[in-house]
Amino acid sequence: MVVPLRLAVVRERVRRTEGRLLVLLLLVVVASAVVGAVAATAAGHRGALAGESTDSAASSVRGAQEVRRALSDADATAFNAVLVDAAQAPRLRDRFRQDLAITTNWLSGARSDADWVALVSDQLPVYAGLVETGWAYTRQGQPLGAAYLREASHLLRSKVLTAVDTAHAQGVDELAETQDAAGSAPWGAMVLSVVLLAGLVVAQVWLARRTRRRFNVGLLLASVAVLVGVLWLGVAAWRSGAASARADRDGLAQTEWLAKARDHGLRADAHEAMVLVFRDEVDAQRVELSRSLDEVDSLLYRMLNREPMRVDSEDTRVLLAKATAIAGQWRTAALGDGRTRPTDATVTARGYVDAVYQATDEKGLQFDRVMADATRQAMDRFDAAAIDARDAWAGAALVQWLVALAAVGGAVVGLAPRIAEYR
Amino acid sequence: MRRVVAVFAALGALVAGCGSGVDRPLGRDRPQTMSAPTPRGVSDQVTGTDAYQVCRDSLRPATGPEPSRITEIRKRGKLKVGVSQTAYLMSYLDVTTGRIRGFEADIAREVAAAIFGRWGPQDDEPIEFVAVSTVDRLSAVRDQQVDMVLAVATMTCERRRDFDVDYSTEYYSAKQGVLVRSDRSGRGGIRGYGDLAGRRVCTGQGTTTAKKVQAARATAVGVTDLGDCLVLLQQGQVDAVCTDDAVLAGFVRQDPTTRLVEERVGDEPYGIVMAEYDTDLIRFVNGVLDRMRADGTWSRLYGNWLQSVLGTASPPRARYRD
Repeated sequence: MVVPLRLAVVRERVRRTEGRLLVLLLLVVVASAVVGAVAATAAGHRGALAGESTDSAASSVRGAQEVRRALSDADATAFNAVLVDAAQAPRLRDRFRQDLAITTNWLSGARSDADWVALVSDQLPVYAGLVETGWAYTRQGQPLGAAYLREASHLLRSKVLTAVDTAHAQGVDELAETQDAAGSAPWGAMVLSVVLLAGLVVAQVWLARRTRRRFNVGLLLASVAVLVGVLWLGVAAWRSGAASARADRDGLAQTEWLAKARDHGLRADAHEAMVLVFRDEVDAQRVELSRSLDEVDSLLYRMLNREPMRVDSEDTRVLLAKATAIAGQWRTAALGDGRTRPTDATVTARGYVDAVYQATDEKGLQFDRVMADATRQAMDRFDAAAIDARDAWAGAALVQWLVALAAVGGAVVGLAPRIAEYR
Repeated sequence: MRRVVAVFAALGALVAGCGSGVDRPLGRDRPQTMSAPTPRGVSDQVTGTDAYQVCRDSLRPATGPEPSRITEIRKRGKLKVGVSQTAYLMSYLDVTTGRIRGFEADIAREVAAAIFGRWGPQDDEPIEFVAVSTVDRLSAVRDQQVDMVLAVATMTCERRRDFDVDYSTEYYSAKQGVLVRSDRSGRGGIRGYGDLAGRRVCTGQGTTTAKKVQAARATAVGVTDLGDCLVLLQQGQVDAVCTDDAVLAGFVRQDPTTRLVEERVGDEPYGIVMAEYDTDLIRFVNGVLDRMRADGTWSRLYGNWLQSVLGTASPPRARYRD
């Protein structure tokens, strides 16, 4: 019999105006606190996501790009190293080992449970062993060396690089998702805030009728605070979304295209050497070389001229134009201008030495350096935009807590005197 | 008041509806096994070619004034010779010097010397070596990319007929051999084709050897580039390599831990491939080969390149059809 009795007491109290005012105050305080917490969490979460894409996720994508480049470079260098004379060979062998060091260094920091990390870790020593064996035989002038180098290249291209590509694609997807999430409007928190605002307005109207006072200044203050909170969320989401889109378009997508063009450049470099190493497939290698250079041209052209790939940054456009020029010279040097065919099936001892000189004169390296600069610029643009996206949320969480505090304060200031009037 | 409460109640419901968790998948244990790398184009699906008929008769050397074809080559300044560039000891590219070396390359140099006269070590060779793949070596002659091809080509009647080519007289009598690792065969392993049953044997895709390997009830592993066979043998992925002894001799020299078994089978005469209509050149080349057999040049070149692995041999006898 105790509970119904107490309920009856509560009912009795609530029926009275002072009780109702007390309930209203409690509701506003609790609701403001809860909405403030949700909004602050949403804002803080987005800020953290945007921050994440500036370091961890981005560094994994960057890592995959770097490993892709290093391994592709290793492939070309493995062949170039057998063509150059004894004085230059150590430098290229060091470059090859440096490429592998970059890869293992990155693997040691990568998420070790991923399948592709296991695959690359397993196959990399095998690959290195095959290349070193190939070099050893080639140093003795034995064609068996070429067979080992070909097996190595096949292993690298058919297994290792495809695994790195998968990792890279995953990283890019995750990064894009994170960016999207960071730039998305916190609809839940905004709807809650709007409902809270509506509740405050309804309370204001009810109070005005009940007390015959036009405005309750406290509730008005609370309403204004909540309105500011909603607007703050909206503006931050809009700014962050715009910055995220910029990060995607001017940063991430461009680094992707640049990475593709670079990879084709490195492939061309490898095929240029392979024409001279694999004498029984000269024509096939020439075709591959030509195809790789075509891909380079096509990507550069589209990045300079065609939407949606067109690059706006003047600095990067200068680099792309420079890369295009180098690729053009490279094509003439490697494939000839119609009259001469430097990398040909035909070989006289002197002609071969000239062709080797052409193949290892580092047009490929020049090209790659320019493309590396362009990639760095694109990555910088991504970073800048990602930082903007993060900064758009800077302080948003604090503002939401302050809004909640202001709403609670407003409600207390507005309702406490009214309640007191009835005591 | 009810309206006020309703609005705040809705707010409560909304808050309760928010929030979700994301689980990251955990890592899986992976098996600690690893397959050996394989060269590109290696296949267990091997097709063989039926045995062919050998046509070793050629045209008799001419006597009399120099034919215009030879004068024409001399005017051009270079003899164009197609070679494989990957067959060690026969014709291979020394990647550090750019020189083509080997038994076949030196025979080509003898032919060039007969046209242009001898040249000094500092001079440019009057030869343009053109890399020809096994597949393209006959069409290179037919399409006049080269004057002749020396690329371990067996003198078959089918090739002569299908590609409008003809051969010089025989410059090497190859047989099909079996290459094994010395350690394995030392322990009572493979001594010949009869011991291949159940073994993994590497051989050229689409060759007559592949047919022989299959007939010996071995598991044939086919490659497009024979050099890959030695890689597979070294990596322990095959037990033996079957192909022409001239090619296997190159393998033995590149890897002294391999051994050519005694038994050789088949009859694979090698001839220089030239265009069928190019009779003046064929007769001229046969004249050079005749001289090489007679004056000991052939034996000297054989001694330089092949004798240490394949044992002593005398020049193959020239056979003429006219």
